[in-house]
Amino acid sequence: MSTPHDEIVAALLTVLAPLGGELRLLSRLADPVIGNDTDDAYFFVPDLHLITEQRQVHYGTYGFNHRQTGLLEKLLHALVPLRKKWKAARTRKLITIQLGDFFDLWRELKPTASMADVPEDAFASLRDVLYRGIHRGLPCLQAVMLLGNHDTHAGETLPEISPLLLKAFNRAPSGKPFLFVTHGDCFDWLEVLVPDAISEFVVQFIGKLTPTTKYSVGDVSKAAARINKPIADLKGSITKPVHVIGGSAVKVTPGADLPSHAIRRVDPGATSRRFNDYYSALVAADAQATDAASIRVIVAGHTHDAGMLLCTPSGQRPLLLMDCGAWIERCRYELFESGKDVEEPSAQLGVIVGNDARIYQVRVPA
Amino acid sequence: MLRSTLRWSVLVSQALVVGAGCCHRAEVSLRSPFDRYDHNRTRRLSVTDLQEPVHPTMGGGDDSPRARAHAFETSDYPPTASEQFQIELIEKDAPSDALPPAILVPTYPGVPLPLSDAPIAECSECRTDRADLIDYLATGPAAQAGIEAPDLAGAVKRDGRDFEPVLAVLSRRDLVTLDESAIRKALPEAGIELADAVHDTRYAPGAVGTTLAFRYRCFWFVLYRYPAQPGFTRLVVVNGAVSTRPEDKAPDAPSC
Repeated sequence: MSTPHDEIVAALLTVLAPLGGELRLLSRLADPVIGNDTDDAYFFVPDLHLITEQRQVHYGTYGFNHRQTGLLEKLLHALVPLRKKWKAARTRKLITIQLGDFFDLWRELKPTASMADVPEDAFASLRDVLYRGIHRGLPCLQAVMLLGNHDTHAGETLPEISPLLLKAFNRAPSGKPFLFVTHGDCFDWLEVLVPDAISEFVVQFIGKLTPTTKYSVGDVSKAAARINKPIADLKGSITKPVHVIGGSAVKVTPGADLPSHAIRRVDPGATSRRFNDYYSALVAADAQATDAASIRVIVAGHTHDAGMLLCTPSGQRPLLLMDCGAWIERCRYELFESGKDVEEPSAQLGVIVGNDARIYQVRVPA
Repeated sequence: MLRSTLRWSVLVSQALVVGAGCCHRAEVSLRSPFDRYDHNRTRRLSVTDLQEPVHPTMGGGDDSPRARAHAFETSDYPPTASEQFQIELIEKDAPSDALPPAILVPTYPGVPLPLSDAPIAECSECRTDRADLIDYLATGPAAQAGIEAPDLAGAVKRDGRDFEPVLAVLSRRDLVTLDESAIRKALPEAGIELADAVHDTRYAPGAVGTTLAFRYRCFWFVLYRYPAQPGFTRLVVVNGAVSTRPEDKAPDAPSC
């Protein structure tokens, strides 16, 4: 019998197979530690950094991957019927979340430009299938859009994007969400604006120490306006040109036997600052009375480094940090069957259904 | 001479600064149905056709109005929407486009006051009025979630606490008996910005009656005393991130 994961894979392969493409499993955790008590499927679209053709000429080939073929919107369109089918059968919702940095407004708009200068028809199909089509009678996934640091210009966001959230939790009938999603740059802001990263992140959960409006959409966008890099500094890669992904990537087909713990295990304090700060904030005493009290999984983007970090200290709270990568820059990883390294445009997608979290790389022949 | 010139310069400069601050007006616009919260989004409406059927094939053969339940969603609002309610011109013509002549969506007068936390009878899936309002507030001022709640939630526990000073006033059993001055006194002392004007284009100007609007934590709360009503009986909430123009911002208001 097909699982929801298999149904999603099958839908994506209807687009990829005719192209000679495939899905590769970059990371997976299938384990009750995820703590998901909902039936819904969560589908993550990471950083895209869209810029128009007119602006693209300034950046050569560096930018949103597979833009010429429209690959991503074709994949998303393939999920629309599945979403409708599940909704009609009332079995589960397919909840799509775009993790922020949808457009790259820092590169798209000059300092004196206005939001109206973003053409209405730029990436129209992608905008429609993700969030805009519901307002136009077109097929649409009604994605939840998160605010990323590149999603603002002069203190404002693109008005058509809705719903636009800074951060969000899954809707849990138990009242205890397991999932927290955010773009993932909050510590970058804090590094620039506020010296004490840990306490300010706790503020984002509990809102006691400083006014919560400090982290509203408007405040984040104004902060972005202050630290946007000069145009000349934006010509290079945003994070790094090639992201090396550890492990060995298995080809994914419906029903395929996949490794259950293709993740990196870490201890708090022994890994990235971002993970440590998230972990410290979640286990802080003040956080236990908040919406974050039951969080087991944080899904983010921003770094463009696809992968999962799992921390399960004995007798203490587990945490999975799932970074869903990007559709910009390149990635290098090993193919499972041959042991051969490949390097190709990053094109990652994340999925969580039940206690099974996955990150895929979409491959198509060059 | 130089000293008196300088003194006049300082006085004029101070007058200009004071003048700039004194001309700030806080004006609230009700905006689109997506930007404002005016009903519990988890509840369905029963829509009854009270008019006699105009078209010969409409109507069922008896005289009783027929009702059906409908939960209005985002997909009902586009200009092309015609799946749920079909509307046609009686005197048919052929426009150059394929748009329906009109679409049918509700205009809500607002959430009933005092704000209720009572479970909704016969609807286990419905949130209480208070819980649904908190859910809306928790998604933040940019969510445009007035019609449908997004598939993910904001920090409802935290925002429920943060908005409690205002929710407590809106939930008072005696709210309907309070006049504008009494409600203003009941509001928290800190963090409140009162509006000078409310622009409500949902209805004709003479239909709205009295409004009392204040901003708290990036949202405008607009209380309505409709004509012939005993007090302020309805609430509409609008996101406060309407404008970032400096002249629209009150000097001490938090940025949104």
